[in-house]
Amino acid sequence: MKSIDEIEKISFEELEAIASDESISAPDGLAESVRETVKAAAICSESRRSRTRTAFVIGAPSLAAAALAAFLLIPTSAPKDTFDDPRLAYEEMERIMGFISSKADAGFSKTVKLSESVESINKAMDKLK
Amino acid sequence: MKKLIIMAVAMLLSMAAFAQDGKSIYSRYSGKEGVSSVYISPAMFRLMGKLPEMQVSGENINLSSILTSFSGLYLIESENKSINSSLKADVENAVKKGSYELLLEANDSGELVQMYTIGEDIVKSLIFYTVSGDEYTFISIDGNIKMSDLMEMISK
Repeated sequence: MKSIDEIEKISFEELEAIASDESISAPDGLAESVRETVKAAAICSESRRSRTRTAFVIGAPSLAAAALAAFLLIPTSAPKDTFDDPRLAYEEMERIMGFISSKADAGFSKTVKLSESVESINKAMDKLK
Repeated sequence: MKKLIIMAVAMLLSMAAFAQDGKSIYSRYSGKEGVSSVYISPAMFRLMGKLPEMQVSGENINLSSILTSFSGLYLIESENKSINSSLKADVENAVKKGSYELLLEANDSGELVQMYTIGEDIVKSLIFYTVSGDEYTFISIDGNIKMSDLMEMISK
């Protein structure tokens, strides 16, 4: 019996001649073995296709859900103006700046009072020295 | 593939969960129950800049000088307790991520006032945050505001 290396070196013409030689008989069970090999190859190929299909079936909705979440949850465009009339917007701005001014002024007043207190304590300490 | 999808979803959700600037904080809370919101766009500020000088009765603040340096304002006022804690966390996160500097903080009898800015002589962004009882106020202003103008306006 020839090895695979030897068979690979044989030309197509020689292989054709050997195949048509009726005096040479095929080994027992060769046809069955070839059929099983072909069947196994077909099963492997189907399994690979099925895995790809499963990944797509799981992946596609997940990606779609992610895209939808991004669209709904992440602000992409500028919000709509609260006022259409610049005069009303101006009045609201005055209200807001008035609010900031009153709150911040209270904060600054406390800071000034605190620094005055610290200053008077420092003066008292200096007198004691 | 599965890992990639999980990572993408987690990334998107975390981006949405941690609002990081005035716009995203506004978008997150605007329209919610117990929340009043105001947005003034750069275009509206330009229109306001063209208005003849206005004085609202009872108010003593003239905005005309400082108005043109503003390019956007977001305000959220919340009296919704379930939103307030989340708003507080978002403001803290925005301040941390946006590299804001604390300009003013006062805490007296449960009333908190905080003011954060980006920029020294020219303020690029300002966050003003107050807590007064159950009322939480968040104001974010963008622009190119002279610090001296801002201080003058606040002290009036």
